[in-house]
Amino acid sequence: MRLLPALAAGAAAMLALTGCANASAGDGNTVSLAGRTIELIVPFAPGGGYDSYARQLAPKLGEELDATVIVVNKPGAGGVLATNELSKAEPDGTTLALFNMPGHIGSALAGAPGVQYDVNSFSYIGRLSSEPDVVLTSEKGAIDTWSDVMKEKDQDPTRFAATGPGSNEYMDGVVLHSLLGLDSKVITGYSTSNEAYLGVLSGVVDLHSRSYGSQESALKSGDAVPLLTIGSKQGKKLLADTPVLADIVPPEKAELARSHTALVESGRAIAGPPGMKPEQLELVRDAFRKVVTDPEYAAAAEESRRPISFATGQEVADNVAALMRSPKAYVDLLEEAYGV
Amino acid sequence: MLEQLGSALQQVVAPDSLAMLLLGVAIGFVVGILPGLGGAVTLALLIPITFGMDPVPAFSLLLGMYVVCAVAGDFTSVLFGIPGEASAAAMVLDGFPLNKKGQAGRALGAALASSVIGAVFGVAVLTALIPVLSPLVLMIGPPELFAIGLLGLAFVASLSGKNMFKGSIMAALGVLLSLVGLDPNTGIPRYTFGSLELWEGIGIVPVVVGLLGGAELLQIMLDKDNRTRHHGRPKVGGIRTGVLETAKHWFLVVRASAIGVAVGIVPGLGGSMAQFIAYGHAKQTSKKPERFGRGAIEGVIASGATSTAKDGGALVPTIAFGVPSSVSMAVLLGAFVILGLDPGPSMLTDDLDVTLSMVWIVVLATVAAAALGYVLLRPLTHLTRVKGRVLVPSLILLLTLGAYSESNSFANVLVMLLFLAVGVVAIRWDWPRVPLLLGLVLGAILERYFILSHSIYDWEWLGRPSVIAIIAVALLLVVSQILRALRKPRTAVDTPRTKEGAAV
Repeated sequence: MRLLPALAAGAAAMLALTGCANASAGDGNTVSLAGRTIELIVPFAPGGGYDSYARQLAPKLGEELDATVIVVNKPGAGGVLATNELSKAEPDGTTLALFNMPGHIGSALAGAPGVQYDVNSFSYIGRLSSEPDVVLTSEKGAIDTWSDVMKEKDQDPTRFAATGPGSNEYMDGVVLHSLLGLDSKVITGYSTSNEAYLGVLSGVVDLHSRSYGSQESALKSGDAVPLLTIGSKQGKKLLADTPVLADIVPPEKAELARSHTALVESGRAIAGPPGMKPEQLELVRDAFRKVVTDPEYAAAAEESRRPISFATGQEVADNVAALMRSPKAYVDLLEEAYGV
Repeated sequence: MLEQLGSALQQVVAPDSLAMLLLGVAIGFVVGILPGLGGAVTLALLIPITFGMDPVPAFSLLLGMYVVCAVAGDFTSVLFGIPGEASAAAMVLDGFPLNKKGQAGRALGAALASSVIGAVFGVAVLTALIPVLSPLVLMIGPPELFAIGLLGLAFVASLSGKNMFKGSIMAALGVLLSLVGLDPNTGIPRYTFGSLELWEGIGIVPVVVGLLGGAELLQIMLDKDNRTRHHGRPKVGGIRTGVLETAKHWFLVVRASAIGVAVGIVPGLGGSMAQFIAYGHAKQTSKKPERFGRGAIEGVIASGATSTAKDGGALVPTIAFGVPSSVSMAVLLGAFVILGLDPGPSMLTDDLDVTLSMVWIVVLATVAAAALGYVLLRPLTHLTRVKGRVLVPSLILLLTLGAYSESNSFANVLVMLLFLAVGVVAIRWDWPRVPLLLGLVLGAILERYFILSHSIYDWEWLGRPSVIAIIAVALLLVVSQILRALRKPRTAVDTPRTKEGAAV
């Protein structure tokens, strides 16, 4: 029976691929993660920014901790599924996750259905990236600048393309409508953000808002034109001519614009389950800091268009706490964006 | 253009690229054969290896691996009745019955030959369309997608086997199942029973794995005396027959490839729809449609050609706009960005050589995979002679891992088991399974694009000429099928029903 070894080998290979194989566990008293297998959970399907960031980080973080870091994609419920799971995971350092912070904090603020975690309770390891959102339109369309949007040349309401309620792009649509008093509506139902962008490109919908990184190719290619930046446009030549949300809102809305900008810029961060031992949390935070602040790593990340914007775990935690104290008017807006 | 095609070929056959291509082919072959373990997951695992590589060797590895998965998946489909990939489920429908008749070689010969032609056709269309890529993709909006969804649904009847009524019920059930999950418009959970796992709907991979693969396996297991399995040596010698039959049905290969490319080009439809439309079309246009599901070689040919042709189509929006039409393409797009390429107009001007090198990679990888498949055909066919009590548990293990690994979710294993049970019941009482799959895939498409069309155009979109034309074709299809069923002589029903003759 030559088949059995073959099948067994196949099964073993699959176990390894799916990450079921586990290295021998260290003893319970030490905080060291040496020799352990650490799961870095990505709450989205393979492909896309989160996955790329995680796969770039995993081997280096593993080296630094003398452990094996594997990336596990756990898509579902827009990231809430994996976040709920992390909130209940053993806080022994072997489970970490890469969060979409605007979605993570936003859904908690809005009290979105399905959220079972206390957003302040996680052991934040550090911020990996932070970038502004950019509102763009098709190069071929009638709109050339943000003032065209504000002037409302068109009789019809301005239309934002988005996937579904609760997505970052939907939030932007709702917030801009309210803060700038736009005659606008959000067209939802696109299956992916990329498809929503295609809707704009074909001229069916006017605007689309998403993180700078995911739009960079479109902007560089000249197919799309940037209109408005939500956040800082520092160091981003392509955005030089765009106004910034915080600068164009009426004074009485300035606080809301600040809240939204802070939410957008909370970026992508790594976190562990609530209740990690302080010494171990420091160990992981330290390793993470060493990896991402290494100039060589940062340069390679920049090269592959996944630029690093580091903040310490403590800074992330403080930022989360501050955002959770956002003004009531902003929470109301988010509730609208989540359809709560 | 010709000159650039030549220089692109030179880049692909450069030693480092070629080495990567062959590595990709080897990995893709293993991944393709293992049921359920998808190309997308493997692509994601390979991405870090490409850091720092030049674009052409990197794509040789990634794209080479990915296209080979579809080719290798045919082996699993034909030999065990388990789809190696969700987008190759239609291969099971006739490939497996042929194997049970002892004609595995003939089926695999046809599958390999049609896969190669499909792949070549797919990228040939891609190359020919390069000057008009952008306007072409932009022409198709939500209203057209809705109409195409309806057209797909019109194939239910021809995929229903003998009983159109049963088929329609199963399709309706599939559409109902597609409603599970978050409402794409309001974000309200529907029929999720408090389980977050169901928010994104019922995944197509666990359903295909359970309904088609698992159910077939359980049949083997429940059948104590192995009646359903072929005894003795499967005829491997039929390979040449299979290849020749593919050549004979060249026009079908072209049509099936065209369907694959067309569906692949449109982001939002997804590859799992193409195969069923092509299969339904093959049956519709066959002189002997009653043989479909019992081992019709045309069914194998249509599925084989579509499974590889769709990738050529899917590359179009990925290259032209950076809009991937599947998870695998999304991972490939990640590679674009890492390698410093900008999907968009520059891929058709400055980086045209990279685009054209992809064309060659697809062609060479498919040919290499077919050659490898030809060599390994004999040893692989021996697998079917392994006793059921050894084979079934091993395969069930692989199926479970396949269902799990798609999104690392145990809930998907439960979904797989549930549909395995549904599949066994359907086989036992002769209810067709494919319409349920089609309903599940199309239900989501129909709902999504109906709502999008309505919120963008109100009701105006129903009057668009393209929409009217596609819906008219769908109606014609339904009417012709009904007429055909009514006219069919009653005697056909009296044919003794064999296991092979079970509805698909």
